[in-house]
Amino acid sequence: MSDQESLGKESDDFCPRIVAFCCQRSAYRAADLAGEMHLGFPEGLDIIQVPCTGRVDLVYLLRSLEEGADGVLILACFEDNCKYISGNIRARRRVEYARKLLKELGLEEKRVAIGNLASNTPHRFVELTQAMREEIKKLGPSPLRAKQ
Amino acid sequence: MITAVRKPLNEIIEMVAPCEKILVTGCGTCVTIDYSGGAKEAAILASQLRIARRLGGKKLETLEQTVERQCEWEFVKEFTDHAAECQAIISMACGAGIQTVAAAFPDKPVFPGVNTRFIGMPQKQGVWEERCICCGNCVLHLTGGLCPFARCAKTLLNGPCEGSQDGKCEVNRELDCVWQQIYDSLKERGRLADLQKIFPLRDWSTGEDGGYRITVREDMML
Repeated sequence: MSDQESLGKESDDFCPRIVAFCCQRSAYRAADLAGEMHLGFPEGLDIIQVPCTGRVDLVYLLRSLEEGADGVLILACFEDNCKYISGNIRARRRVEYARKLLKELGLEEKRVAIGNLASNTPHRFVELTQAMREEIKKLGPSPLRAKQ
Repeated sequence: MITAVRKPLNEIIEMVAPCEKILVTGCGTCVTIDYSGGAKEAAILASQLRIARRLGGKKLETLEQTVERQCEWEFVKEFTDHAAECQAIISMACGAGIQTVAAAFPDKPVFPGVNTRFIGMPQKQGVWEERCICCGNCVLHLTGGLCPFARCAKTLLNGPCEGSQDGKCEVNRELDCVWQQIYDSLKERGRLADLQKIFPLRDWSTGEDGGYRITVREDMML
């Protein structure tokens, strides 16, 4: 879908582009399972597999928005369930910090978010990504996309 | 280490307003360790500046480069090629690094990307505390390894003020009274007798009050 098509004039025509950084031990497997079960992903979702969400640096979140994402979602293991002990907690704190960086820029803080799930929760994967999509639809297209 | 904090974004946006291409430089030593001005922070600032410029309907090109230390000539020279392409340089080093870059590139505007705060140490992950004011005449051997200049709000040198209560400072009740800590430290070390020594009026000319300081080691000169 082209920029013009996905941006659309009517809010219903707006298809948010969401980048989802997915932990390979939980979210990515849940996404895989959701695919096998034909649960259906939200349109416009770009999944990026990471070894642990603690690997997701602040600059990845900012650059995703720079490159045209309307929202960025980190999907991490449940807290206390990180293979690397605290990667998901670090990710949560980075999201909180990233929101401050967005606020400094006058962008909506909710364009960056985090959700927690397990590898055997494909329905939760769909719920979290769908909820993010709805949130971003409410916010509308990223102002950066219009100025690309 | 020397600690710093990122300058407010709006201040930096204003500094670079006339520029179309800038070099954002990180320092690989102190400000990398305290997460204020290393390679990652330079990348984040560059991204924020590009976003801010684009939101204003214009374009900003950025280059990023981090060197081992910005407070030494041989390292800042590494910026030469990138600097030649840019209209201005943002230095995310401490004040010493920023001034070294400014002196090395006299034909370019050099802007500070951080506010330098103090010489200190990470008390725990994510929390840094001041430890040294570079007074030039150390007394730590007499004060149980705790600096009364850096850690007493009144820089008292012969015991606490009357405001010290329950081990806390009267200027800020969240801060420990360093003189209480000095007493505890000396007691633990069996050196309470050190408290009997009276410090005379201090000569601050070894500190910042004597003009900027220069250390010369002739044996190290080439």
